[in-house]
Amino acid sequence: MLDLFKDVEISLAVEQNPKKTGNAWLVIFPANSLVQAAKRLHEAGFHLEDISGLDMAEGYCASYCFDRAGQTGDNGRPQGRVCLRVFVPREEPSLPSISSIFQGAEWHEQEARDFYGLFFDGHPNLIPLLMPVGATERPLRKSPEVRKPWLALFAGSDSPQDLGRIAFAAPGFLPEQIAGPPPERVPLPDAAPGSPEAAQSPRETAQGATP
Amino acid sequence: MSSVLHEQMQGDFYTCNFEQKTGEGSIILNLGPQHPSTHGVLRIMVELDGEYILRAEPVIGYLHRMHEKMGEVKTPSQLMPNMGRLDYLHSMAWNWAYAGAVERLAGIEVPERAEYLRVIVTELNRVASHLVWLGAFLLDLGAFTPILYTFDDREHILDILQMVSGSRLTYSYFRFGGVAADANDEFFRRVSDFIGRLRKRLPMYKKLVEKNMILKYRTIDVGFIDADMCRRYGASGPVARGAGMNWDIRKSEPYSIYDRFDFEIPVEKNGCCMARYKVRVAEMSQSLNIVEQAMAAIPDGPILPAKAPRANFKLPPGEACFAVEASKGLAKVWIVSDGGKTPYRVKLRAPSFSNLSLFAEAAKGLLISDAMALLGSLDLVIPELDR
Repeated sequence: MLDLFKDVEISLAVEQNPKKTGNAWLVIFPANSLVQAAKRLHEAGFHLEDISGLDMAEGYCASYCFDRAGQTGDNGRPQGRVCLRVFVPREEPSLPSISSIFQGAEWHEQEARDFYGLFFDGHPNLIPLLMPVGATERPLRKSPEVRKPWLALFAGSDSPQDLGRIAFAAPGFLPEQIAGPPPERVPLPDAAPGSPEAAQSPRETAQGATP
Repeated sequence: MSSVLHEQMQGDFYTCNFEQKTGEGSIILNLGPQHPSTHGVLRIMVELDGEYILRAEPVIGYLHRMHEKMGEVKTPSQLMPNMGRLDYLHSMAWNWAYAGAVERLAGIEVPERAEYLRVIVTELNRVASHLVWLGAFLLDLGAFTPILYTFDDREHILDILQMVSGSRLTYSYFRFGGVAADANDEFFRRVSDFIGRLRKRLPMYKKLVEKNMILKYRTIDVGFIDADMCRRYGASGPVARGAGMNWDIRKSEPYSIYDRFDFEIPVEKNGCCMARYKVRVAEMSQSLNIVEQAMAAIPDGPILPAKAPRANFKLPPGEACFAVEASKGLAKVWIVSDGGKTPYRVKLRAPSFSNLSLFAEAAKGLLISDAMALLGSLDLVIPELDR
């Protein structure tokens, strides 16, 4: 997976247990590398599943799910779901549109605009889709007192290890003061997923360590 | 002219927006929201050159009920009845997607008997959904008789499903960790009677329909959708399989006990309306095979785990998504929880939504009557699409 994003800037890449979260990979990008990441996925034959928003303490999150659509990997087994996420500041909720690469993203982006008020730069027709024309409320935005930080929502705890096997983390992205010892950080070129066994073992030890 | 009348003649927001790009000499036609071939309240705006479509844009949202917001203000158990009101033709699949996501997040184990019952009812419901599609699609193309036959067969399935779930259409049969009610011997007897009946009737359907010249002219090589288009738009289910993609969630991401059954994934390469028709008809007999195998292997035992969650249980913090193969394609529920009484976020990924989004591209250059054949072959259910 990290091979695919060799020339794309990544904030965090986590290999997850699909039996626990439904995703095989969770990759967090800065907003400006989103389009390039989508291009790489399109070239690799990925299939757009959906795009959804999320309101968090740090701002908004746009979550993009991609699937290999029945193609099998090197091990002969179908490949799992890849979830890309981008964090957007609340003050200026704007991010690039991927509708030039995956045209199906158009409607999903319009839906995120309706529900969260996100603005997708480069979208050809960013008009109301599901909400009535002229509606100004954004129904899925949360009030400040109920918003939760992203790590608590994605990992269910304060510890990044609960996300899964951390394959790459950009310096300063994970909150070290909460997490205690810094997580396993593998530099990008070495982090290519090798045999499935090699990928399996660190994840299992990480799970075994959690109570 | 009064100003109100003048405003009405301008058209609404969507028409005005669509008209901006109109070329010279073409006309704009609004199909729906009450057009008979849109099956519900779907509206499609088309720009026409004579009878040929230059540009199309679906307008959706007429049945929008904001299920995702309801998911955030209701407890997980309270949201279950909503799942019957998304895809009302295959609501067992949505029951499963939601129950599966909650079970995955909360780590709830499902007893064997409940897994088998889930497979039986979901596959029967898939057959019922395809039967409705078959009748309605042919009705769109001008054949009135088949819908009377398919609704007759569907009626048998509804009777069977009513025995266990208590309802005929908007099922709320799944529980977190199992199902709501056990099946008795009468249920299994009627299911096996029905399998025999439909196996005899399927060849008759094929004879009735496939040799008809009108149907052939209206579906073969009409409304092409290729695999790349499916990838770019996220189309799934019979639309993707009709475009040559060998992709079924029951095989590619086997959930529950689907890996125990011997069944095939029908795939057609052509990508036209006929290919999608063939995939769905072949899927019906594959579903019957699965039901038959499940009936032979179903064990005795409980239908809910010993520690089944109570109505007021709280989801642990974290996130999980769960995808199932519905009759329309990939139905997925993504739940995020902060450990509170109600989920933090519930995302419903509806297959009809993505399947319809490719219509604008696929309909370009078609005759308007062929575009209606294309629309029918997508098998849309509007409440699911609008959520």
